[in-house]
Amino acid sequence: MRKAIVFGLGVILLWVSLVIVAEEVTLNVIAWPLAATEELQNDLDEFEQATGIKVNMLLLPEPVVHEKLGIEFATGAGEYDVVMLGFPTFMEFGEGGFIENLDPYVTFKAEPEWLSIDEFFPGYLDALRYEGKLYGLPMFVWGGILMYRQDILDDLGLAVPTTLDELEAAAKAVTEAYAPEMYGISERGVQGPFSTLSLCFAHSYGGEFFDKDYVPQLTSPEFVRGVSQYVRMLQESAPPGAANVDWPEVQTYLVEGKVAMAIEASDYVGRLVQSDVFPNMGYAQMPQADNPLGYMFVGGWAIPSSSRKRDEAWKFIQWSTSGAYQLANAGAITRTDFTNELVWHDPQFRTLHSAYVDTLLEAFGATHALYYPEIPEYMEVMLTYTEYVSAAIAGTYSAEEALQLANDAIYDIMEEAGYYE
Amino acid sequence: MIKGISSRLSLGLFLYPTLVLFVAAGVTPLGYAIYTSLHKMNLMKPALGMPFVGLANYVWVFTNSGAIDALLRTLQFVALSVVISFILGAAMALLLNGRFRGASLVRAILILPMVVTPVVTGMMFKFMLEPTFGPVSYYIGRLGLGPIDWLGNPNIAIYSVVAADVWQWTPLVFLILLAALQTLPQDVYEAASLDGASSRQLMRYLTLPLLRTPIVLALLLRLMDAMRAFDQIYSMTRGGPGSATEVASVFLYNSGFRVFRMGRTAAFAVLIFAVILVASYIFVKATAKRAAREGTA
Repeated sequence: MRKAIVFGLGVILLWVSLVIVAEEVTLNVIAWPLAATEELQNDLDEFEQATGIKVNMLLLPEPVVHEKLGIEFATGAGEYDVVMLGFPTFMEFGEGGFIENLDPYVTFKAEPEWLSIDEFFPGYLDALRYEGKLYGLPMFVWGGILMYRQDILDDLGLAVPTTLDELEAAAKAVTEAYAPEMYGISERGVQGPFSTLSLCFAHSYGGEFFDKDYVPQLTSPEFVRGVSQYVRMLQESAPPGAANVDWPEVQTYLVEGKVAMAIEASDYVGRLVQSDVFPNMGYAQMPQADNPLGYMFVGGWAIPSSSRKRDEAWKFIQWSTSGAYQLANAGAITRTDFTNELVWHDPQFRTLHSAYVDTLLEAFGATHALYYPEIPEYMEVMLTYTEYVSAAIAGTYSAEEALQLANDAIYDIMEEAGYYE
Repeated sequence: MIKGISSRLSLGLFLYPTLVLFVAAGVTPLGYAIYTSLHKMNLMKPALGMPFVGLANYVWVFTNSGAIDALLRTLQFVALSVVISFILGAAMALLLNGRFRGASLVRAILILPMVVTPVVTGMMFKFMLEPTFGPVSYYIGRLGLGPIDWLGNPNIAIYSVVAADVWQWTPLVFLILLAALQTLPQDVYEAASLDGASSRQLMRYLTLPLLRTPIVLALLLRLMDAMRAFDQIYSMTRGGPGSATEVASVFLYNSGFRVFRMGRTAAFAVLIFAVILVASYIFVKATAKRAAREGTA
């Protein structure tokens, strides 16, 4: 009798523990180490209290995340439930069927207290669509702005550049006056999928990456003009080693007072505010030629199709991108990457960032994320393009030669991908 | 032998599981790489399947200018890195082979670079060689020279990454050769000295032949390491400027893990493996023949 009771209690205990384990849902999230995600990591308890869903968040640099996700999606391992992607890779993974189309989620499973699709900056939301389907919700946005040392420009009697020619001239003037202690400008020259400012220069002069049949047009006079100016400017007015410069180096040069100007992502402002140069910094819309530069970046959350917790993942990405959550975290001086327009009109936020809030808001509104090749083969095409531009900056080729070589290589890529059948 | 179990059964119990593990962990991935290299495989386009394409991927490797340049650049990197690290390592081993005060401490300091993670080595060199605020540029500037664009000048960058590799792996050569030197029989040296042999003759007719096997070992290890060098180069230059330091490993990484073209990547990797295998075989065979001829095997 005693044995039967003990056995029965054991069965009940086992059943209860299984139920408890089954009820506890844990989401695995992978993202990049940014101010937005590092802050989010500290607030995961809040989401768990609201939903009962635990979250494990892993932060890794973008190239590592991209590499891991490529293998993860190809194998269908289902290790991650929420992933952070940069806007070009939404096309890559969306076309492959690796991430969920969120339109049905928005229509049928929206949490009204969290999701207000109309409050996201339209240009950035559109950047997360491919063939009209929405594949992500924007987690952070960066607009392109011109950051400059007002004191240096004043010393030399230079106006804030509004055209690309004025930018080049101002950079040259600063370099001639101050090098090697300070140079005129720094921009990204390294090979990489996000070293896209040269593309913006080309677009500003009317150059297009592809024609309507996806034949590359990198050798058009407009495209060559834009890229040539970009290459020349970095060769003549940037610190030595421009061909190896990525965004950390541009940021370091600005913060250390080694350069007077940079066109870069608006989140740099959040880092500049803690530097010695901040009191002398000015912020303006990016100079342009015939068209706006349109330089921007948006990163967002996507739900892998291999995840077995897609509904829970959907709850997480709504909550972490909600207006309420963003407003609650808008007090940090270092954060200027909020995706919800409400934040940018909040009086406290505007007061905190009064020196540049309207400049950034205008930059977000002026963005049209259409200068980049909107194709799933973006990564391969951009790696090829930027390799040749980097070689041009290093002096291995002229800009014209580099663009001819890039054009031929990209044509081969597109032909192999079946665009010309 | 365990009582009651035959030697054959013992062999089966203890050796075969190890062989199975070796095949599973070592040979199977190689086999799958060869299989993949014969197919077209793009991880991001599963709908296209994995069609058999025969040797098309190998043809691509030999006709793609980027791949050919990466191979040639790898040969340049390997030749420079192996030769320089060997000469420096051998010189250090010969110089520090004796007994002197502080010998252990000096030797321990000299092998420190080997324990640094290659990525950290790359980042360290990148910082030191930064032309605007790196310490190397600072001291060169004090001498009235520079700034020198160590990593951004396509004519210099390859030598900069070689320098980082040599700094990190010369201690390996030093360790191997020092250990070998310290185990050389002293009686033959005494006998040769009594017969009037000069130090140069001792080196040429005794030391080098006796060190043949460790020398081959050091060179082979350096060759294999240099062919696979990735971490330092990627963290220093990412293969740039342009493609000036894009060796085979960096090219493979971009092809396989940035663009996910696995068929081509596998073909290139198999070719690199074949090159290392053939070079190692030729090297060892030639050395063994010579050793047999001289009676020093």
